[in-house]
Amino acid sequence: MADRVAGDHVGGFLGTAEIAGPAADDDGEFHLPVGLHRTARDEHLVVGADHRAGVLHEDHGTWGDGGPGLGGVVAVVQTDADDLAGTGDGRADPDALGVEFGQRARPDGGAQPVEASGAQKRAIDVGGDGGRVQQQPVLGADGRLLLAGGAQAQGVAFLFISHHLQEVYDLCTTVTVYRDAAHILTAPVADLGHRALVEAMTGESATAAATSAAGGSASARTDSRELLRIEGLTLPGACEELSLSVHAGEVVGLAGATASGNVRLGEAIAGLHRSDSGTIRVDGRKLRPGSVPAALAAGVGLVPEDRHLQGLVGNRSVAENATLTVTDQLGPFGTVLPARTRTFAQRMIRDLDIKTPGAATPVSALSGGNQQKVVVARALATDPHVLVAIRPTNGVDVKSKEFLLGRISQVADAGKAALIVSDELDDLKVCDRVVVMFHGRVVARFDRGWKDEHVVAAMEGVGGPATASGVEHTAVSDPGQTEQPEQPQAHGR
Amino acid sequence: MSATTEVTDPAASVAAPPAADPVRRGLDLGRFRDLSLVPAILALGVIGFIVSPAFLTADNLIGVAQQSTELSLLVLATALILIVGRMDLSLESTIGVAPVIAVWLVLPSSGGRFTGLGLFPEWMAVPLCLLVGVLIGAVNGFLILKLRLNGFIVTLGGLTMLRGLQVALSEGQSIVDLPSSFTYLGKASWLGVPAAIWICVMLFALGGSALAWLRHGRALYAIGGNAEAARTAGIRVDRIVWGVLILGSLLAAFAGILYSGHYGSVSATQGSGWIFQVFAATVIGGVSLNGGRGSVLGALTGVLTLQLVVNVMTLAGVPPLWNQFLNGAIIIVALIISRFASGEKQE
Repeated sequence: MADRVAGDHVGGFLGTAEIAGPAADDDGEFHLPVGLHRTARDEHLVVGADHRAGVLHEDHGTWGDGGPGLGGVVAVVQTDADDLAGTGDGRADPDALGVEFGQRARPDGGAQPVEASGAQKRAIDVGGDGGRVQQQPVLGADGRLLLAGGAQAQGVAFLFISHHLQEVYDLCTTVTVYRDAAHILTAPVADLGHRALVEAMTGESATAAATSAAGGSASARTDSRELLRIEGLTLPGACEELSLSVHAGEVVGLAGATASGNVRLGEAIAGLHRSDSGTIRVDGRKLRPGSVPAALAAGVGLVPEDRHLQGLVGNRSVAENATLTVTDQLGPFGTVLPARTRTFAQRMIRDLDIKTPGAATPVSALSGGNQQKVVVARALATDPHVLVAIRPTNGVDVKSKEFLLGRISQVADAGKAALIVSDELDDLKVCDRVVVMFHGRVVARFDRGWKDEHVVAAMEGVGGPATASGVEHTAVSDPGQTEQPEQPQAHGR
Repeated sequence: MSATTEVTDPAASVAAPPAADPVRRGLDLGRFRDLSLVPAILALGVIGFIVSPAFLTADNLIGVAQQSTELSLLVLATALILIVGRMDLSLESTIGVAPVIAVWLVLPSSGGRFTGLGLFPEWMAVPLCLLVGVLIGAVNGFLILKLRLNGFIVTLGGLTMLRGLQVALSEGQSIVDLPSSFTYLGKASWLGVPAAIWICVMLFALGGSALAWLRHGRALYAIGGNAEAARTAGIRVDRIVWGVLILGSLLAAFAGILYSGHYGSVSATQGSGWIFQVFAATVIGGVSLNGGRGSVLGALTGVLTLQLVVNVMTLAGVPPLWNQFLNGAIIIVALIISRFASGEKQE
């Protein structure tokens, strides 16, 4: 299990490393005093540094603009899952990957950072002539491999800041882990197992964390009350004649690749999209289509897909963000009383273990994982009957990921229903059932005990073997066919 | 291989401050940010005192306050609209056209220098003026929110169109024979202080309280900060923005009543060119042009700063020909001051 976690993409943003003036000493060895910003962050930082001794020479290198000769070049690569625009696995979208900022060492030892924002989609190609550094688009992980190879060939120090464990193993010779702004370990990559690395990052045993998340709810509880019922729902451009139901105490996964319509369906439940036909019922009550306030009132909580675009008001406080959905409960006559807001927010901060200096801290100062917790807090603040969580662990660190998935399971344990809309297998692990969508249709339904490859095959629209144990597979072989998948009452057999 | 990546004294960075401390500091900072222009106002006071003995007299200061009232109402409107993430340039025309339409509707069709339609009794002038303000805001909201037109250009068009409407209706002349109900608020004095000042102070207090403690007031910050996040949190974004646009035009129409009453006439150029000063005052008062940031109290300090500068320059005998140049220069200097006093980038 631990190997799988480590070998797979592990989500999570890893804090900001500040290179405060790299300078080569006499024997050419390169020292990077790495200082950590400690804002309101509780981070896991993996730094894989390829620092071959003696690699930097005084006569090396010009920066891309053909400026004056420099003392050496350090390539600093930072990947931030926050910026991996919605690809989920962090690899599929080459444009969103790449070098976030480059940094060059000046002869006087000062460092000149290149603005992160503009440089996100650029890479430093060290393979050019004479140590000349150019910036050009990078092609995903392969591009970075090339980059690292080029760096080694050129004898250039290469600092890679990432949580993509596999890439750390691929690219780096030495890895340094920071957690909670403290140095945890520095070791050669070859000597460090995946499990040990994950443990160093999370501070707890990876196996224990994995089982605690997986052991959430044992069996489907389909005999209980039906909290969400979708019948014959047609959303323009997203899904047709779709039916689905989620019972109290259930965590249901709604899987599907990017264009499958699963995200739009999740958003439609929360009232963000108007349907052409069909109904959505929450605890027996029919929802007014396309109205978020109506969905909220009926008891739908939404963790939106992209916390930056849809989830958080960055410059407002943690308290305000966490209570944005419940402002009507915070005082009489349309008022919002600061004291009540603070009390409410403190409760959510404790409930979700949000690491923040205080309730009044702007939410943009938090780390990705803690920001996501604020978004989940916002969704849970209304104490919803149905929690719709769209890619709930998108771009959060390993520890927060386990925590958030565990918290979503708790919602179901408390007798409510949870719908996890995601294409990440890790997210689906906590689900009692998984419903797979492909091109706007339900193509497969799996009960607990499914095999990852079957879910993936269904998501990709490939009819998998339906005979595998514990799998209830109703693949629609021809997507043009309009035949209905089985009725919602039928599952859980 | 030796470890060459070093940490800068982890102990120093680990030593997190106690949890309560940053909260208090954050609050204090927040309060301070609103009032970053207060030192500038105090400095202007000292300069005014040195320049002329007439500065620090009740008459002069009340005069400055009275002159600020109309501008400050537009600033209040602009602050609300900017916080919610929108713009309305047509406010400066609303301040002129709303009184003209109201007066045109109530004044008799014969006898006076200015002939109206006489459709309504004279006491209706004030409600009609406010109604015109509401209508202008509603139309702006319709164009921006329903037709999804660009707010900047729509209200720029509105600015020109409404100014043209005013000129056409008033035939380019000032209207002097106003109903007494219409001039009362601009002329009256309560407890020795012009009524307009009381009203402005009250409106700013109301606006500030609404933004701080009302559900819909706080929603303005959420919408201006991230409209999509506000929508997913169940805030009726379009409805609130529309309401704010209407409220802004209503305030502008009300400012028109105060202005007309103050000078006893509706001048043909009433409000013309004000929008630049309004925006300048609002932004130096700490309201972000990008939405979601700022406060009405800060915006008020912005107006006071600009008005005090004009007053001090007049008292110092600066030739009026230099006024325009100095006004622009002051805006830039004030921006720089508030930028560094608040420590925030004004993007």
